[in-house]
Amino acid sequence: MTITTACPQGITSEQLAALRDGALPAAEAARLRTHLAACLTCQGTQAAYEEVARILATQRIPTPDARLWHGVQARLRQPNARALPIVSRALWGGAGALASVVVLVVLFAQVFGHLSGTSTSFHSTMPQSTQTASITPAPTITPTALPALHVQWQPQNFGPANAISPADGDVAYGCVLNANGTAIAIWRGQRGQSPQNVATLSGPGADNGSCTIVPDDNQANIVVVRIFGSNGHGPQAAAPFSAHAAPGTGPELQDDVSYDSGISWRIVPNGIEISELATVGNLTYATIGTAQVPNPVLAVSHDGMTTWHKLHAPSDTPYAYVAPMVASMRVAHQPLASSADFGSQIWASSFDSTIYYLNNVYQIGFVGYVSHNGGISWKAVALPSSDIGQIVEQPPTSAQPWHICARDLMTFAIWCSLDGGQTWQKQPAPPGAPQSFFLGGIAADGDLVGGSETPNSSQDAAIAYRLAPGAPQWQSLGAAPSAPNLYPAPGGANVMWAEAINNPAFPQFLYAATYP
Amino acid sequence: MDDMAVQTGIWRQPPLRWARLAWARVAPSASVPASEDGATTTRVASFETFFHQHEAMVFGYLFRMTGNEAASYDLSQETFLRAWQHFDAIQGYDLPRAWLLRVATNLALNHAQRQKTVERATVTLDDDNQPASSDPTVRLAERDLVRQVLLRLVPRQRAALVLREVYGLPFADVGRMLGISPAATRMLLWRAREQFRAQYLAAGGQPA
Repeated sequence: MTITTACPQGITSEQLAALRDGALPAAEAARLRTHLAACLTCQGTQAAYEEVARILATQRIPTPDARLWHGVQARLRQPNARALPIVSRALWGGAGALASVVVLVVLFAQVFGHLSGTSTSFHSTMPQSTQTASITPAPTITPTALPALHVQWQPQNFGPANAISPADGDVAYGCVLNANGTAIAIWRGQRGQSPQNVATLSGPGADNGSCTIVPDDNQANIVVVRIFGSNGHGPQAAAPFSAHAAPGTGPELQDDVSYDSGISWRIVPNGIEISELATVGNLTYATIGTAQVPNPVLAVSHDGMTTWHKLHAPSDTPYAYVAPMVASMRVAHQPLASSADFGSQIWASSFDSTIYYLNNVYQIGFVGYVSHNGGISWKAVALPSSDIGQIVEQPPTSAQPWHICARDLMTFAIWCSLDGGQTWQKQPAPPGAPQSFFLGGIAADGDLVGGSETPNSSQDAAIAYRLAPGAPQWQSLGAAPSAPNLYPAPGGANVMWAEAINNPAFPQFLYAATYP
Repeated sequence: MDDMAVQTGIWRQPPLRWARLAWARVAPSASVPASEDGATTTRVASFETFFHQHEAMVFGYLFRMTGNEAASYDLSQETFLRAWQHFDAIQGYDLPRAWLLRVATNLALNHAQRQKTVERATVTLDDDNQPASSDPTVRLAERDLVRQVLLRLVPRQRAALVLREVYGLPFADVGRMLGISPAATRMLLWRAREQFRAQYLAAGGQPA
């Protein structure tokens, strides 16, 4: 293996890795293959990636013996055999089946119980009471077939870009390394119009790098771009809550923020990496990390992302881990292609000052918490299943509180709550193979929108569906560019965005469509 | 034979055939009723076949993720216990392997979070682990070096890299399994490759 140098044509190693993974749109992949045939530098990078695969294949792996089957049998013999968090089994493993069930119940109660604390003195004791979800089964109505709609998807001329993110129903941002490989161009596009290059970010870390975009959940004019450099001149990492940047050898990246729709930018100080962003008034809530804090923390800034104050969210409890599992599955207000490096989700309402903070807890599933006082105290949101792995939401209005829908990753059941998670109603099963369905989000009119992709296909052929509130079945919206990257815009008309990765029927990078 | 095996006397356990009979005879649980009817017996037999079809894959993946044999046994058990709970549905899947890998990934990532401190201690690359020749002993050390370098990656990078490059999962499936967008998956895989390559070279690893 050799360490490669920069390609004179500005092709990045990230692009070459994506080519290897089949992650590029067809047009860009073809362009890169043509380039690759003539570029020794890029050939070297590709060879190095091949070498990584070969080396991984040499790892010595022990062969499991009869212990494994014996262990499974032993677990199955236990009354009411349930999968338990390993941490519980480690503590109570010798206590037998009854103790295991007790541990499960206690743990469940702890995780879903009420929490309270303050931003300055939160104590990491476990919740004291159990929050039980009130659930209602799906209505047993014999559905009348709904006519399929065939939505017209319009390409948005956005690409190929390193990252692209719709910020609301009509605006999308993109960032891309410029042709000379020296800076990051920021593009802003109005739906249905050609995007414009509104700014160029240069300086340390921008050349030969990549970028991701995090638009603000609540204000489309606020957007953060993260630039990953690879030239060794990136910004220095700092302690996350230090007022002064400390010298270090942190990752070569920086976050830049714009408050005017991408026209002007400034660097977010102290090496902060922002993964979620929701601004309410003069408060900016975010999940942030740094080189020293690889797991995200929930924080608030009162001064436009200059300094941050950690909010001791309920995830600080021993069994709750802010897991980087579900970040991109957020939908309302959220981008198709944000950094998504971290897993927590925050939704801050500008209507009623509510903050939802959602964590994915491995083995336990999603846990949600709500604060009605800006993150000072929290209580658990009861979820309809312990295996919830995908949640979408619609913020409150004067006529309706939070609307939340959740999907169980084990049973694939879909549940919705119209009262912020107090009660849940099971929804009709979507068409097609249940494991191939993805929740897209909740549209402005309350429709639940999702996509189903062709099972076992190497390409992302997909069909979009919607479910009107209370409807007995889903309605087809026709072929879509993607199932997992289908994004109903949060406000205004019924607009969907979709990012096509590997779908021959949708060769462009980004599409948008309206539907009746 | 490792310490765990000695402590639990696992090597004195009966062979599989005996164990299967014993299970059918004494199983007192709701999951495996004491008096099995024909359907239950068939289900159990199907599950055992399913288990043996996938145990090496699940165990191997978890060993790559944890670097620890005992933990791999533990998490593999957990994975198959969940498979048993959802066995009726899994049997209908075209690709039950993907379901198993998703569960195993969740378990491994959770394990990694709990073991973070321990892992840091175990992945230190000392002089004894620096391969420098083609000696077979060194080659063995180099293969172990792969384990050590993998453990130096952050768990999600490790999972993405192994799922993609070792188990050949399509790019989209890797992202789906980790619950992240294609853009995030693309970035994660790129960083994982770069990190692995840099760490491996820095540790003195040689091309395969």
